[in-house]
Amino acid sequence: MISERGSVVAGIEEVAAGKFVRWDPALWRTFLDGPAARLARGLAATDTPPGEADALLTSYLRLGAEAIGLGYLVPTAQSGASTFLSHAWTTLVPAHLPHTPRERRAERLAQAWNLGENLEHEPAWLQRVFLARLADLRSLDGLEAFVNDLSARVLDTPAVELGSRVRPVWVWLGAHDRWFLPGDVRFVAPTVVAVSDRVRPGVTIGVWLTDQPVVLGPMAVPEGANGAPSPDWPWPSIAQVDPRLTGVHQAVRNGWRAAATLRTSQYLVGVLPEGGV
Amino acid sequence: MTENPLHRLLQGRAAAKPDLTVHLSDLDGANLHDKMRRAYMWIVNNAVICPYYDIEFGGKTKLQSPAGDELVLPDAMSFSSFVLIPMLTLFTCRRALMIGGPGRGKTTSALLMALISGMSRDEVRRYIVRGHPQLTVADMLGAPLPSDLMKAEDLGDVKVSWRQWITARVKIVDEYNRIPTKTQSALLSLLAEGYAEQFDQYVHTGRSSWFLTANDDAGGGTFQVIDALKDRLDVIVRAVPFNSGYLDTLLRRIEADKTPEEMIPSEIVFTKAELDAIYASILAVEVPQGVLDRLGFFLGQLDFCRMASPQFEYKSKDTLKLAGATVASVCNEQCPLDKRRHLCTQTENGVSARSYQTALHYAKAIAYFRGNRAVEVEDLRQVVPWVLHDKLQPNTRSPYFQADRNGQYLKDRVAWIRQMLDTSLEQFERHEPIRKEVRGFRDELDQGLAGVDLKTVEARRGKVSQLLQRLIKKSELSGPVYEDLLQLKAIYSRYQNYEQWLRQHTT
Repeated sequence: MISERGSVVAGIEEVAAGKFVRWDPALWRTFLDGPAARLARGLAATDTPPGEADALLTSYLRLGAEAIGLGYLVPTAQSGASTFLSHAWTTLVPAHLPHTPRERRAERLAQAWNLGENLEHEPAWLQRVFLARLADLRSLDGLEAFVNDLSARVLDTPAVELGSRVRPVWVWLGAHDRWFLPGDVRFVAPTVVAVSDRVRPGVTIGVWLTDQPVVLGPMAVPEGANGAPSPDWPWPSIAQVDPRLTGVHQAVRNGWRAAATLRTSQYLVGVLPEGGV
Repeated sequence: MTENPLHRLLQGRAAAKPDLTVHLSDLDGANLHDKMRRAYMWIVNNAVICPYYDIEFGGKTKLQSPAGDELVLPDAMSFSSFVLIPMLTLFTCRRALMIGGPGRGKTTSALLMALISGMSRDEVRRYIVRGHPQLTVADMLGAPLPSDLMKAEDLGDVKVSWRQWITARVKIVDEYNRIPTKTQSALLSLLAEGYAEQFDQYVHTGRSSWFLTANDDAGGGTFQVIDALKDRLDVIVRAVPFNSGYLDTLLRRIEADKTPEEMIPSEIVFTKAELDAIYASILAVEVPQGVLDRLGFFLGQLDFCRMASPQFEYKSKDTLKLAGATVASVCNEQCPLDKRRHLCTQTENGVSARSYQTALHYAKAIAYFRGNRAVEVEDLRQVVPWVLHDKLQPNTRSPYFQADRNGQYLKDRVAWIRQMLDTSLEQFERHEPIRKEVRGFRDELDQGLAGVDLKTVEARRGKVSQLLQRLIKKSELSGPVYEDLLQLKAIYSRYQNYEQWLRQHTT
């Protein structure tokens, strides 16, 4: 399928090689033989007219070449890195584009590109939030709802406030950085905290305190990061429930979450409302 | 659907078209200094093989052999001077002299600068001025058509057909030390004044970068290079030796049968508008007062020579030069200054105001390249040795160079100048309180004298006089103190003059 479009592919490759500093011919070949070939087969298996399938595939290949040239598309097996755009172009689009209604395919492809490219320029922790919830995205038509849902869950205030019935969650930050000793902790969003290393200045790890907490990796602490210091609340009562909670180093809370670092532990203790987030 | 803050992430460069394809707009608004770094990385990775990265930033780990040889491992990004300095020259529209043995990539580096400035390979090939002993002014600049000369009855009728390279954004002069002296003078006019003249007609070079190459920096080759021409060159770039560890890269290049110049990606070619924007952005980089003071403290003391004259104002190396004497002839045990500590002993000359400006301009450029809004002291440390490489002449007979391993500095200008700058940075901390006092007086004077009454002027002059006395009696007359005393005297004189005027004009 891809080989039938040899001149188109060669043309895209020639332009990209001449345009991009970091053009990777080997990655391009892998992309063509893998995801691009799957998309071509997927389109051929539907009732898409050949001309329309060609146009769509050409758009996909051009965008893929742009992604490789700009470094958005990474060979995840070797680099260990992951980006939303890599996932979109290698998995999401080949799997779901053929099953998207024909009149909406170009629009969804454009949206997937825009989301992936924009995430490259957002704080890295936000991209990790998206990557952590990829399982929630089951179709390209669901992209808008996916973004709106994550926006609400990360940036909006949660529906359930922190009351007297709480449950602690333990997040081992040493798994992400084995030298990390949790120190100051601050809220950067209603459910997101940034934890600074006690010893190494400028080293931070972000944590999204959702029902399954997600470690977000290094995070700059913006001005205005807040959270009322609360060395006393509600830690004694939580310690009764969970005896591991001893020796609080620093603690913060807002109306929906609380978080504490301990004097002699690499864990972050998050506190969520019991029974709902 | 209610607009959520992240909904904007779905808008961007890609847009669906009616024909059900996706159109991608060009990437615009990308940081220019990011593009500069991409260009640098491409050149280093694909075009110029650099065995080391000698422009280093960040705290450094030092490894030392038992014999005392030192290897430094930088903690932050490091760059190759052989690539970075030409790039900075391109972006600042300055003039670089590329020196080194034949086949080291001097001309290639200059060609790459021309290509990333947007010139085509054809243009670059046609526009290179190649130095050779028969190069005449007409060959270099252009000439009128012989038929025009024959027909003309008036000078104004003669039309000079100027060579097109003169107005190019990047000018390359290959082997400039093979150009005959008369033609060098025409080149000097272009370099220094920015124009050339023939038959009463003028051509202007416009804002441009110059890259001159020479096979060695002693002005050797077929003709001696005139001092005025050498003086107009802003920075030296030393070609790097080849490290045999990269032989496989050379082999791949031969087998590919393509030169790096043929493969430059369009992504790193700058438009005229981008080059102009970079130029303006570099000028806008801030130089904090502390950085400026340190540069002034270093360069200001190099011109000082305590033994040059009994008259205070003439204690400079220029005085010696005009008398046909050298620093080496007077810098001996009769001068009470400690030759191991004071920098003035190490140089035969000081630097001109032009060198100060060049150093600042390149410091701004490297700060901008690194993505900073202000120059740091480390930026100065990295660029000043290259700017002053050919501007400072060592006093080879100074006792400083006889001591320990200091003689090695006579063989490596970059290491020598950096060593001097480092010494002056240490000395600066001790001298800074005095300098602050002097600057306080200067700042006060700079606010103007309009409306300042006689009593205030007398009081100010008195304070200046007290500091003058304190310095001259209690401080050793070294380069920095000398500069402070001269400045204080100038301030004193201004107040004195104004006081006299007030007395004459106040009833």
